[in-house]
Amino acid sequence: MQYPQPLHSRRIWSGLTALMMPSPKTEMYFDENSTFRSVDACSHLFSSCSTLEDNLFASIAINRGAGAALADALRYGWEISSPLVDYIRSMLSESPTHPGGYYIEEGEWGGVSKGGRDMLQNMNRQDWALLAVDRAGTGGLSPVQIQKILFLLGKELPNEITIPFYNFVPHNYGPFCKDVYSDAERLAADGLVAIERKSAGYPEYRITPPGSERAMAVAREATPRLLEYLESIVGWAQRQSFSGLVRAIYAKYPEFRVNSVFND
Amino acid sequence: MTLIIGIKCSDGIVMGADGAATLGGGALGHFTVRQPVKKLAAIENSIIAGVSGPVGLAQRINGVMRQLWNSGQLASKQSFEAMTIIRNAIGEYLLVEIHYANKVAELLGTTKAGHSALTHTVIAAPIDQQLRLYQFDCGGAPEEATDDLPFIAIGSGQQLADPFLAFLRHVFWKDSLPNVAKGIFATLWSLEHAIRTNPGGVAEPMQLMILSKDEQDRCSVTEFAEEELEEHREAVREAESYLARFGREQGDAPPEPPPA
Repeated sequence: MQYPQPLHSRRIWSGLTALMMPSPKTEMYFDENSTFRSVDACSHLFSSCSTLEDNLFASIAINRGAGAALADALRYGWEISSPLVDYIRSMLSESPTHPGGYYIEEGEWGGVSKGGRDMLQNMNRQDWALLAVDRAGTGGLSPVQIQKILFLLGKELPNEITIPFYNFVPHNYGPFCKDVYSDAERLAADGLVAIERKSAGYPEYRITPPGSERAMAVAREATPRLLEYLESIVGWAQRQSFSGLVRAIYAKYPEFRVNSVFND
Repeated sequence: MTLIIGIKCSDGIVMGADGAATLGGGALGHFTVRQPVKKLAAIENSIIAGVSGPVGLAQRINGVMRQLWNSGQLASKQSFEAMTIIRNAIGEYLLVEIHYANKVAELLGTTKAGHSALTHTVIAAPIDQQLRLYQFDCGGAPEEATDDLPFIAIGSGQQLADPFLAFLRHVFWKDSLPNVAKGIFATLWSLEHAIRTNPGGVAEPMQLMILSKDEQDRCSVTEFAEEELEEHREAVREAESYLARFGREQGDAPPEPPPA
């Protein structure tokens, strides 16, 4: 288990402090900011904890919100035990204000459940495109590079991305998703990404200073493993020729070759 | 000014067109402005029609094709019969325009009069259970693209596109029909080449359509979105880059001839 000890201690302390606070509320839910509400629920929550990791998760959920707890659980690879997962699920399904709201699927804690992904509330699909463009630095990304980088991200680390992610289909040069471009256009409209179409005829995507700032904030929501992998595939994709990149994808994912321009 | 390309592929028909409409001409004798326009029409999700020349004639030819298709006149016909039916149907309009252009030519000269009468047409349609590609000249005379002559280009950009398409065919699919993916690649590269090198009038935005059949043998027309062409543009740049590097020293040192 990897986590910074000083932060861990502080979070536990905060969690205990919260438990000592009386509250008339009995309603139990994650609020619109994904913050865990109800002191009664807090005590039940802790009584359902059986491991140190459970306690860490519970205390962070109480103090910083469910999204932060899930992000840390992912970041440090915590395994949350079944009783706690069961408790949170039953509690949330009974919530009068959030019926059927956030929940955690049992047995998905090797990564994160759909409910858990939803709780990574600050991230949306286009943030992945932003992160990829940011990691490309001044070199920027071409269309084939941004398409294949995001494809690899979804394929290689499916448990560490938000859903809905990009839905890639086999196109003339392998996996392709139009939404990647529409998201890039949206990021450009927000001033976060610059899209330049030079003499080459196709667009190039580069991060802008505001985009870089936003990417830093977004990166805090992602796991170190994901960021490390993204960094490596962006650098790798930038070093490949167009056909080299496409052929590398075909070699690993031959099912995306069916509509290809390339013969072999 | 126009360039419309059609390629018969092993799994469908690809058609592409430039997107520049030049206004004026005719009696004015000079062109006034250039506007973006779509030159390919999808008709009843079964036919693609592309017409060079006067827009008004294109509108009427598209209407004729829609009528022929909806009335079932092309159903259960062999290819040569369909060619004749289409020729007769659109020829009626073509010959009328040529007749009047002849009169106008006495006043304005043949070149100016011809602007409002001369047109070529490319049609992709499912005929006799196969996807077929036809061209019709300014008098309506038809010709079908075959495995030996699988591509067609019409319009003022034809002189640039024909030799370029022949070059691409020689390099990439000399002995067989291309698949649709390769057809798109060749169409886009040819359009880009014509747009770069023509003296004016053939321009972006491009339009690409595919006529294909699904597993249940149902035909459909698909129009490519601009973003679906981006990777093709990137592939074209890399192909050009390969050619530019040909003969230059790359990587390892050249082999030394054996010593005497």
